[in-house]
Amino acid sequence: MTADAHAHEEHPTSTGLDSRKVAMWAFLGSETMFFGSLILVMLINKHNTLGVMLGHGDHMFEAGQGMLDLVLTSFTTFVLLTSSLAMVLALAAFRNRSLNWGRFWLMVVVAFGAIFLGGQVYEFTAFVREGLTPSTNLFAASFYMLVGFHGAHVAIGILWLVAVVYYSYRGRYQSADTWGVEMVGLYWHFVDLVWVAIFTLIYLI
Amino acid sequence: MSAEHPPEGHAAEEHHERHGYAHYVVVGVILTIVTIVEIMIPSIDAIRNALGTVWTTTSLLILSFLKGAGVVMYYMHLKGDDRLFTALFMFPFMIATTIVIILFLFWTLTGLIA
Repeated sequence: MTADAHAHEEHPTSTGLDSRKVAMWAFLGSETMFFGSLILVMLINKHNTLGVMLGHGDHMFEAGQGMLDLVLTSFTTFVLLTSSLAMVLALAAFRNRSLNWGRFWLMVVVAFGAIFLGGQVYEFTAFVREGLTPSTNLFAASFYMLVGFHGAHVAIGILWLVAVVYYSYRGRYQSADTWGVEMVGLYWHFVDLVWVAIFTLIYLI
Repeated sequence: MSAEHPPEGHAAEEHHERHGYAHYVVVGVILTIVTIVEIMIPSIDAIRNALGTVWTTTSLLILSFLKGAGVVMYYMHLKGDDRLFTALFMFPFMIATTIVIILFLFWTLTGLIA
């Protein structure tokens, strides 16, 4: 067995599970709480819930809510969903030792992630040009916070994917241990999952 | 693993992937169809008016939940994986979901969504 294979060998743990995967799921659990709180803040500000509770005004849509572009966001949502499909196909290809197909699907994920980010940049730029900045009102502040943090996660995911492709050319993931691809896959699917919630709760409802 | 029992956990994933990439594509097509239905519900006046605000919101939440469940179970392989992973993810998810549902109930009861 080579030194590289030793380095990636799974070690026995008290749970019998791969500690790296346990850590990843724990991280995703914490991320769920993080995005859950951001989504809640966004929803509360969207309907002026605090204002109603405290007697400072009625249910209202603040400036900016009518500016959300459903057509563009529907397209980027479709792109992100498709990237999740490409991601799972990449993992399957690496597990089947089809390295070239694995790299190809990973690059498809990178491309689709970049298209999604491009859509967000376009949307943010259009909003700012029309006068909706994070300091406009609570709706705008929480919108930029939530969607911006999600975009940052997508950007980190793209960098991680590029790193995985690079390491695959350096000889990794050629054995049964494809944990690097699996971890970035879990992260990417989670980012997609968060967008499923954001799209429905913020853009559709 | 004996020959008469089906493979479990990680082995099941590998076994499955060797025989069915099409499975993932089918899940992807279903997720796309659900997304199209989601977009149609608030966009087409006839559907939105027929459902009303409360049922439009409820149906969108249910469809979104189903879509998320599809991603978690089939793409993140949580369906065939160890229950510890399910617990690590589902516990905070249920907390967040419960608070969102309480918020929507509050809106409904106070007339914010009528």
